[in-house]
Amino acid sequence: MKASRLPLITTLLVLVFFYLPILALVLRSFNASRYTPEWRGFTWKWYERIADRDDLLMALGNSMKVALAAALASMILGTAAAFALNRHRSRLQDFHGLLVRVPLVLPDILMGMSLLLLFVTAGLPLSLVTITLAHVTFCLSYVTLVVLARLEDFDFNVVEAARDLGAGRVAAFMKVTLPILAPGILAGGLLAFTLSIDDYVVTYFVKGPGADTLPTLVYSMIKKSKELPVINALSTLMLAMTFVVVMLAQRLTRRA
Amino acid sequence: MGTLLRFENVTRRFGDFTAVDDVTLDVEKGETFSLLGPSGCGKTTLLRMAAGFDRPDSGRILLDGRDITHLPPDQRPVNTVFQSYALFPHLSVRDNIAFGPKLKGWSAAEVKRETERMLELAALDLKLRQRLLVELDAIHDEVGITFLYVTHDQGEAMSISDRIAVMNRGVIEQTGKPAEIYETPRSSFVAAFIGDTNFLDGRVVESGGRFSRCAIDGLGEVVIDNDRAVAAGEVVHVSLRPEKIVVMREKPEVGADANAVRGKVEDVIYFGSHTRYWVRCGEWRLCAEMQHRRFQLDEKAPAWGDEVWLSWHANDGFLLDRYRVEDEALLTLPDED
Repeated sequence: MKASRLPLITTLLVLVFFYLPILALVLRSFNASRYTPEWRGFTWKWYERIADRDDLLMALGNSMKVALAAALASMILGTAAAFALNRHRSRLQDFHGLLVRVPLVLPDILMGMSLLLLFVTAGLPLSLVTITLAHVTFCLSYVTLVVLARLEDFDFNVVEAARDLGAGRVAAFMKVTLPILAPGILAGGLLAFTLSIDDYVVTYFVKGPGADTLPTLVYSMIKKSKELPVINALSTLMLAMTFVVVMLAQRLTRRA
Repeated sequence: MGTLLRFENVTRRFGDFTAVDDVTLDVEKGETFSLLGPSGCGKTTLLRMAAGFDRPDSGRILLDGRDITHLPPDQRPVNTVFQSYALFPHLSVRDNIAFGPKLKGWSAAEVKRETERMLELAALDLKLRQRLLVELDAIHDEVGITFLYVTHDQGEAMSISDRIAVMNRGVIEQTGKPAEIYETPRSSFVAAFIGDTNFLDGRVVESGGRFSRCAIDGLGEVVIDNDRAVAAGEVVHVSLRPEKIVVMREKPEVGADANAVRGKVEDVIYFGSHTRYWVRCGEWRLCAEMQHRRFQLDEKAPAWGDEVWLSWHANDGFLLDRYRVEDEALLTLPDED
């Protein structure tokens, strides 16, 4: 039988629809022309300029701090939530399951607005801390669902086997449960990291003055067109980073 | 030898469901003891409580006289072999073997030596040891440790056990050696769950001395051993195993301790080692099994439609309570065709 052409065609269509705009951006980040799209030769200068801008580096640092903290916190909380959902079945847990899934479809603008109101009401000064807290609220659902999927085919007999062979509660968790679930937890964490690092809407609401992350800074830079090539270069870098992280996450989810 | 493991009035409930209902059970040192019963009968819950994975709601569990009811699994000198093997998927074969010894604090050299030895053993006679059961039996013979085995497979339980406890609905229906369980069932559940049997409804006419006389519609009066006290007029469930019945063409001479009833062969199924007959006696269809001595020579086996006599000794019938309707699906009655 002749191999079907369908996979090839769909792959090409995906490439065209999703990656053509990105390709344009990547190409322009190497274009020596500042304002016009015509090709005026290859250059690294936009990339070099990133290094000179303290505000960009600062925002990059902020983004990294927030994303790492949000990913770590949602890995811990999400794993705990997934365990609760998997190990105990009740009507309350069904409700818990629903609560976990709703933020996936909740409009960002609603989430940002409500978080801002909460922080203001609570008298919490807007800072990197509030951004991190906000990011945890939407990252948490993703981590919980990824770990929950892993728990579905987790053989809890192995934990009992470990206890049976002399491992205490903590030792059994550290030597058996955690290592087996680690790829799932890490995949969830990487997903959380990518969600956090490129979030604009929620961050825009809850960031304090002067505490910009990369996306919010990039947005304010767009208003000045002479900065555009620098943004292109920066976006290309972020794109590369996201690719690496998503690939890692995909590999971890596929294994075992 | 003495008792090694003792369950004392152990009860375990899951919500409204009573998995184990006031069970008292002694497992002797060095024996292979099987818990046998259908799924949901509580056998696995008992095993899990012995291992420490579950705790009774009431009652005690004693190991060598010591109360271990609330001892966590890692502190019990009890080891479980899991049906799913429960191997650690994130560890190599070597590390799987070394898991227990390492936790026990053996030195690296000891762990390495013992792991190597186990790996060699596994490779030596792989073909012989393919079946887990054979492996367990070998360990039992070599080491002499006590085994508590859980199964729903009666053949398995009969062949490897020193003693068996037959469980149903959270209670132990009967405990005994395999032959005792099979030959002298104490309840209709046990009679039907282990092997095949015929059940007949009857009424006690007279009870006294060694035998009771029992009226069964379509069969007339039969004599049955008095292994439990019954009173005249009592309604009973008579259990009679197919291989205990002798099928004959001529009316046999029977004494006061045996029965002979008339019937007509409705079905003959040849199995090689034996033949199964379905014989109509009034409203009953009895299953009887006969082995052959000279099948091709002078033995003339009854055929379909033949008038025959069924005969059995009073000791081979049992006066039991009727089994519960809910249990009917669990009982293995002989195939009809």
